[in-house]
Amino acid sequence: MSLTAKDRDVVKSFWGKISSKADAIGQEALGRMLAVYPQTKIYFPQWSDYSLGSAKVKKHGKNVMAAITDAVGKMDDLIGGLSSLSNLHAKVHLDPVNFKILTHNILVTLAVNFPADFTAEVHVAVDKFLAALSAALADKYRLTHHSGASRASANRGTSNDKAKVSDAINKISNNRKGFFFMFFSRSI
Amino acid sequence: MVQWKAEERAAIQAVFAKLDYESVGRETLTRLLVVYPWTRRYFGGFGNLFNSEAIMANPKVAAHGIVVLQGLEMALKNMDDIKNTYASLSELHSEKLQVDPGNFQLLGDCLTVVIATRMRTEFTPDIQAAWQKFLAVVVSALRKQYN
Repeated sequence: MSLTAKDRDVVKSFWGKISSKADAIGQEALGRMLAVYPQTKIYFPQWSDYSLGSAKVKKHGKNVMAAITDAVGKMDDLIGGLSSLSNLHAKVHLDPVNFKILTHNILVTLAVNFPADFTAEVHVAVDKFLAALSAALADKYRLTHHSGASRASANRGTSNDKAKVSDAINKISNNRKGFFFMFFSRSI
Repeated sequence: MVQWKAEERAAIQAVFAKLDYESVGRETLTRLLVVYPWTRRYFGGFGNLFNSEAIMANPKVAAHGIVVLQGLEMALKNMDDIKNTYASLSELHSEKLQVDPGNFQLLGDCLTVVIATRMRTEFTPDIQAAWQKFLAVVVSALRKQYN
């Protein structure tokens, strides 16, 4: 679901309103996530305190929100702009289901702190933006399944996929005359 | 059977105590229809659902918002047996309305967001955790008859 010009305007305008509280929002969203979805603690095994007020939650929440704020300025090319962050999340094997979970907690945090500004229209635009951001963060996943592949050659993996897919389609359509069988692969 | 701690029961009661069914119901359903527009297909008889202003002003949306929250109240009153309490509701949604069950989660998420705007800092992470556990049990009960 691509971001329209209106979506981008709404997100930028809303982000302007919340930017002074960005650090606190990041902290609160992360704290909520860890409390409501305790399985997410697995990604922070060294921490001793997962509560909203802890120093680690405060620091990491600030980092996450700073990256999201940065992405607001890169809405024209989220995949390109988030490429290295995507590699990082792939390396730590961060289950992409967690992007949705954190998104939900960001939305709840925005609702708590900006109840009047977080209208239904802002809600849908921000949800779309965070979904696009999540897809960009997952873009560099599943690139090292080819033998001899490394994360360094990751970007060349996609043309390999296309060759294999069209190979498979050719084999299937040759075996079944008159029966064309198509399947779609998605980027994740 | 789902086990509820005393704090969880108290938290869920606290959320319900503050719930203005009319206002929260209408806004929850509005957000569902705006943020996840494919859900409009389930409300074909509701008239104008073309944009958020129309949805927010739609009297059928308002009325149905109350119905949804009254349904949730049934779960609140039967917290130790939500599964059986919801047996006929589950059948209604699966057999008659043919709602894709993924949408129950989405409605729950919208309701949680609206509650967050109302309760604000009173909606602490612990209360949110208890509330979402309650919603998860409700959603699971609604999905029961889909097999």
